[in-house]
Amino acid sequence: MKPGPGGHRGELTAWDPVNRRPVWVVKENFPVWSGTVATGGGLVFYGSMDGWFKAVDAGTGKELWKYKVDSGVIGQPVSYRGPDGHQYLAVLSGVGGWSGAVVSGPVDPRDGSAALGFVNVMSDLPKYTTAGGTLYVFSLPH
Amino acid sequence: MCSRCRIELLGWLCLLAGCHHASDGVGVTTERTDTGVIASALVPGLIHGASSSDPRAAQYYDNAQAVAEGKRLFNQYNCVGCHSNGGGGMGPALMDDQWIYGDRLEQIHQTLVEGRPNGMPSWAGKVPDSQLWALAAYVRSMSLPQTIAANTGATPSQTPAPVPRAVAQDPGWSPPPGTTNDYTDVTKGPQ
Repeated sequence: MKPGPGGHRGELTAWDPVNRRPVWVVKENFPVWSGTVATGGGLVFYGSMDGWFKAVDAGTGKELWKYKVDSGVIGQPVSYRGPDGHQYLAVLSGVGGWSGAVVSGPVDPRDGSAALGFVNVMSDLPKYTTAGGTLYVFSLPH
Repeated sequence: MCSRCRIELLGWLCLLAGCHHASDGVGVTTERTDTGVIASALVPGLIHGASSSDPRAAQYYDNAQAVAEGKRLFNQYNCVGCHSNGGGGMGPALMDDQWIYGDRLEQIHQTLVEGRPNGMPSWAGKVPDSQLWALAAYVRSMSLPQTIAANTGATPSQTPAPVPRAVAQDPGWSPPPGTTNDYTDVTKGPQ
């Protein structure tokens, strides 16, 4: 498995479903394996496999904030109202899955076909992140 | 009662009685025709929990034909589906130097026969025993420096290095007395 055209391996795309076209695209070096969560305040949160948890402007895709977590993000961020009435965001860091197997799986990186071929395309991921498992909770400004 | 009915009845009685005389004229075949297939990894009265040694392993060391045959079978039986080309995936990597269940050929053979937790099936009753030995030889060859070196070219080598007898010198852990992984008693067909 190899990177697609352009050399990058992931994109976060905001779609206009009415006009059936992308509105904005954020290119990512690694596959965007995390989910996204959009807040009522016009933010979109997602995580990258090299360990950044990011907030972008929901209208433009412009990066507004990012935070380095201890491992790549492949989990689904959630937003919730805490018992104190404030808004929080929670995300798990901890890289894995087929695309992260070269970091956290029982694979030998000398075989590019390992982990269904993901070892070849993700062979540089160990330079960016290590295996982990941490729950992060952020509070939004209030 | 017609004679044909009587013959069929005889056959059924034969089956019910556990009769093994397959060729005694009633035309009922009860024996499996698979050759060299271990019927079961479980043998009553024998401890198969740990491999000791097996004289049949000797012929698969220093055996270029066995590893080549093992490589062919490794692909044809879709071992690559879980182990890739030795790098692992759903199953563990086989080209590294970690051997959860031992790296001697009789130990690898036993793993193939019995299966292992978390996904490795038991191939007893499915794959002829001589093929399991060839597969064991190839699996052991995968981590040999010569095999890895041959695979680092533009195309993977089709001739894995034979397993030198010297790699089996480590006696490893000693199993309890009476332990065996000689499945000859439950193997059907020619060895």
